[in-house]
Amino acid sequence: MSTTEPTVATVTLSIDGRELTVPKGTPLVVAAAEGAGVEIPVFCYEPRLGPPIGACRMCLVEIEGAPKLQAACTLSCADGMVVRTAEASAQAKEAQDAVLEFILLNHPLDCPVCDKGGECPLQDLTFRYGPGSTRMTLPKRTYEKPLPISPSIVLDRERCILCYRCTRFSGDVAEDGELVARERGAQSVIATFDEKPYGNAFSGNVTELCPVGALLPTAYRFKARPWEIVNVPTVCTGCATGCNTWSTLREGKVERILSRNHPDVDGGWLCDKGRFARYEPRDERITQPLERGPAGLAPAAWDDALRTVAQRLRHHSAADGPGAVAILTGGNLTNEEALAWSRIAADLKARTASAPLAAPAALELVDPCAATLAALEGADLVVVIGDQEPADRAGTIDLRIRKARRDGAHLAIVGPGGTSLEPDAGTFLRTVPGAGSAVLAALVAAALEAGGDRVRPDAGAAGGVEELAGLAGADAAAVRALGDALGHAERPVLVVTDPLAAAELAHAGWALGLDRAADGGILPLPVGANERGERAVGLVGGWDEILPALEAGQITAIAFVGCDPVVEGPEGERWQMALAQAPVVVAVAAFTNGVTSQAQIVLPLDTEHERDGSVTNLEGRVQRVRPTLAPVGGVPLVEWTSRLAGFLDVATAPSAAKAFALLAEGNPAFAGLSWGGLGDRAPLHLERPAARPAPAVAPTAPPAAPAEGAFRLIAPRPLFSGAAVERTPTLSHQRAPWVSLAHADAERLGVARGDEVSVRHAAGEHTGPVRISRRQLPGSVRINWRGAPAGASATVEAR
Amino acid sequence: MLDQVKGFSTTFRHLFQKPITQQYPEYKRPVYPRFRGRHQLHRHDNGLEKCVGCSLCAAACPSDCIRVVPAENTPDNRVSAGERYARIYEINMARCIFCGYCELACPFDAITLGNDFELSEISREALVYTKSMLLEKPALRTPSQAVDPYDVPAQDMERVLGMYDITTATNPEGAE
Amino acid sequence: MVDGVLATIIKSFVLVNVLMAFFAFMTWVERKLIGRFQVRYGPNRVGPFGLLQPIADLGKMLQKENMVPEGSRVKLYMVAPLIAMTCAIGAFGLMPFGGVATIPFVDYQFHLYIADTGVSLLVVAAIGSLGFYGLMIGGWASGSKYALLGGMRAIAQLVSYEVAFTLAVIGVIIQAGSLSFVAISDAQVPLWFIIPQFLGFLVFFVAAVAESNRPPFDLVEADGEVVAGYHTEYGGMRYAMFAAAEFINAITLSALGAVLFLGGPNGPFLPGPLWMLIKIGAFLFVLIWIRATLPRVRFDQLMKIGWKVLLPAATLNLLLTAVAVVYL
Repeated sequence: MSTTEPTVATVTLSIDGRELTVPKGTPLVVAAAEGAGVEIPVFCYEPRLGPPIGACRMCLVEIEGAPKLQAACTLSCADGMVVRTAEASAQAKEAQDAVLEFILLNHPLDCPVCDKGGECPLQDLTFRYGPGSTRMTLPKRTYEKPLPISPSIVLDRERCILCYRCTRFSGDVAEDGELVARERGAQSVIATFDEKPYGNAFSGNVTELCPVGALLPTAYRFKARPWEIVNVPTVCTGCATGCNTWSTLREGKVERILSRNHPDVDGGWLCDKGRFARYEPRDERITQPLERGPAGLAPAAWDDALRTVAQRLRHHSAADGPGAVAILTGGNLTNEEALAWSRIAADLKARTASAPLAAPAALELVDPCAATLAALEGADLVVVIGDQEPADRAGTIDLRIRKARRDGAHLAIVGPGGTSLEPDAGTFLRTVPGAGSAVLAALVAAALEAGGDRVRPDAGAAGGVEELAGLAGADAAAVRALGDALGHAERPVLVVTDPLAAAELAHAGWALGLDRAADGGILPLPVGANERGERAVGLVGGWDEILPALEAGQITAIAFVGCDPVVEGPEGERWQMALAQAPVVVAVAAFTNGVTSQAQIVLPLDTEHERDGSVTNLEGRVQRVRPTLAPVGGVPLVEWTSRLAGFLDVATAPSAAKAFALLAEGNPAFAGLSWGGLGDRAPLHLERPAARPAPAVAPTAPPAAPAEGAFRLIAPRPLFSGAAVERTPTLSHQRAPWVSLAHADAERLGVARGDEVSVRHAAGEHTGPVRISRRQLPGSVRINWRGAPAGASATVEAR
Repeated sequence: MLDQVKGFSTTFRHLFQKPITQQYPEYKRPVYPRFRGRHQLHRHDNGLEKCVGCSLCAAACPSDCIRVVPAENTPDNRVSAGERYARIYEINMARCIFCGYCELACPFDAITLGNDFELSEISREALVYTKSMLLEKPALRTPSQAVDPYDVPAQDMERVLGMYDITTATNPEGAE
Repeated sequence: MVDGVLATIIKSFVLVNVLMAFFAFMTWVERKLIGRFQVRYGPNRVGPFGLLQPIADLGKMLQKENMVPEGSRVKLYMVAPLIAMTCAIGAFGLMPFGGVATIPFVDYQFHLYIADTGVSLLVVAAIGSLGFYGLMIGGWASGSKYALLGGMRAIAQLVSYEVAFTLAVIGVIIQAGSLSFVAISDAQVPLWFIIPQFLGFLVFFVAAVAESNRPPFDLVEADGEVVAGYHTEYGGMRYAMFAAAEFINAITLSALGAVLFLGGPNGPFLPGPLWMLIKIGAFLFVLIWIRATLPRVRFDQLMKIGWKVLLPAATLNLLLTAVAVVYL
């Protein structure tokens, strides 16, 4: 919001005889509930899905002056309106009864076998407002059921009451158009478009939206009843967004995840990874310390293993000098766990790393012009730069960007193409793969040329517009146009998904004057869920800095705490070879992975639902993570790390609460917070720091064009990757490989949509069905591999 | 004062009356047809279990003594007549207060309380009845006033109930 | 020592054993009788007619845990039941069961009582009152508020009824002219004192019921009032000792009643001990009958009866007896 608040216009109306004054534009349903204390039952009304449609007719009320009953959800309060709800009007009551009766006419008597039973709005509203018995004597209409519309969601058409919440979500929020209503009238059914499986990354949200048991998750099918479960309020740690969740526990197992709706963070949505991915089965987990002996890894006692680790680390730190020990994390520890490790690292004078690449991770530099997730809502210009889709990096941010566009923001996508945000984008600026750095510099230069209230002309561009646009492989005129828009927009938000150095982003923010835009800025996207928090606590650095030192033999003892560069890093092979020579390798892991096979000591890692602590999301919001299960190793990581620290004579706190107290005292990123005060919907507690001048940085050139006939590879890390996703069978369809080609290339290769092709590149081979993209850069191929260097060379063959 | 003497004479007279004690277990007083004893899970005539694992009995139970873990019926393993069945169904008889709420809550008449009340065990674990134990017909050790209503076809019910004289069964030895 | 040390020891041994056996038997009698008063069988499962029930109870008591509560004064806690038992049994040492008896074949003569002083009655009263120390100490040393309450009530009850008890008994003494049991028994040969001393007998009887903590005056150990009174924190054999002490107290008072008002061991045809047995048995029967019939009195009612009803009655009786003895 701008600094001066305009006075909000209000209207006065009467509901059931009660006079109330509400802000103009309040929907009548909301005014009745909050202002007059009258509940108007609704099924299809859901403000997050856009404008109300009045489909279910549950909210009919009598408005004086209107001959027929009106749907309260579609009406906004007007001055002088006289409303009588079903509580005061016999006509409205009759209508309410009738609507419920109609809904229930064909609704099957499934409550005992339906998972929604006990938490079903239809049940609740029928109990409160419905008839006690039915007049239906005819056979009810039946459908084949249950219908698996995807491996994770099951559709039961008999139970559907046609409120169209799911189709509105699919069409208006996730904008995939996969769930549609087919046929008309009494034959209306919900179906997937073309009978294809519902493969959108946010499909799970319809199971929470559906007011009856028509759309239900397969993973929770027949697992528990609402009275047999406990819901633990926690935060998803799958990506840096930190969507608030409820974790549903029954008999020692996490059965499902629901959204806890933090309006400023997730808006009530979850991506399917956060919703369905689990670190299971628990019996495959590493549950106790393992030491490598002649016969392989063998179980060891906790204190023995910790003592060994302490001795070895201390030995190498003392004998081989500072920097001989390295401690790597993946940005997935809680703040408290990270504090313990960072203190150990400081004492051992060890190198640290908390992200795959060092330079992009230094996002503190971007803080003066950082935007928040909520800023996307009011933005007038959203620019997305990078090869990777925002959804692959930060889940629900994709839905926010789409909402911003629907609310009137101009959406500009800058990249090589083939992403899902392009079709509705206002501007698509095509570049070569890996050109994020160059094109950002070009846009900054263009904005500086075009001028604007906010722009700082003396910030200095990294080069001329033509030169930089040419470097990025983008059209200079288009760059100029977009740069002009950037310079003049009032509330621009820049979302960068390429691994640009933070210094470049800081320069862009300084030059564009984004720190002066109170509701705009750059939205920083860290890689790890708590990367920001780990950096704030002292675990700075990137894996890419550690690898050369390891290969050169400068690092003699290395510990991987919850990360696996061998599998997840871009240079997996190099890591594997380097680790084979390292004298001491300690791995803290949940399952056996790429580093455990090289480690001498393996310790169990607490995963998402077992840790108690706090995490800092991409905006700097500190949120509380609460445990649903006991740690599989029996001892929480915070506790055994403090024991390890004890063996090293390093002082650190033995529990999460005490560790947080240390953070709150001494760390400016946690100033003013208290463990008990980390409430359920955490606020942003820090102000933007003052802007500092950031000099221009020479942009990194995109990878050179490959040889004739070869393709440029676009393979950013997809959303559905990682140990948890790989072990979740209901997400198997999200991991199915695909290959996206430009139309011209597909024609040239003679392949049509759906044909199998195989893509070979330096890191391996990827085979999958073809998708044609209208806007993708010809000569490039996009695959959902788990991550390969951008723009690498690849060959594509039809199969 | 006289009342005191009357009191004493009453107790003195009792010395010469035959005690009205019913000697259990030699004499087991037959219970009423609606007596709430051991639970029983029922099957349909074709052998499918009536219980679909909806857990409404567990919700109704005031003592929290029923544990239901449902599972899906598959074509090669069809256990119940609906979409789901109770894979695990346990009742902890030590917690059960035999109120009959589970019987009232069940939408499929799958669980009823029968007439067997002799359920003593010497270990707590043995008192947790599993589904297979509950599916069994109870041991006929408690005489009942009437047969299990589930075994009597509707048209015979009145005749069968008329065979049992309920009013005299309270005190077969006929004390005052 | 009336008969010499060895004989006294043997007689004491026999007496204690007989008393304990009698106590055990009486628990069976009490339970059976109360059952019959309530139109039911008493215990009838353990042995024929439930005769082995006391053995079963003994077995149960023996295998119970001998715990000592944490807040208790341990030595006092352990000694309290002993005091109660000792005093209860000790009072029996002065009861006469007859005159002189002879063992056949050996021609050894001994008295059918362990001691007879000139002041037997005083001694018995004293020892019986000493027994209440056991209750009070047990109640206080248990470290539990209900036990303390029970102990306090026991003392209050004792004090209230001891006075009336003693006054009633004094009437008998005045009429008999001696404190010795033998003398009192002999003085009743023509006429049992129950007839001239009827008021005194009534007072004595009520006071005896109160002194022995029997219903309806059993507030001391009433479950609903003080959980179990002074023996709340006792289990196993210690509890058994308290129970034994209480019942033997009742037997003592029955025996006292038999001696003071029903003529003691005197009676035609049957030997002395047997008459004593019959008379004690009659008393106990009435005690059990009262237990089966009357509800418990409230504590304030108990006090009222003790001070406002029995004491004036006993005083009146005393006056009348004194006047009668002097002027008749």
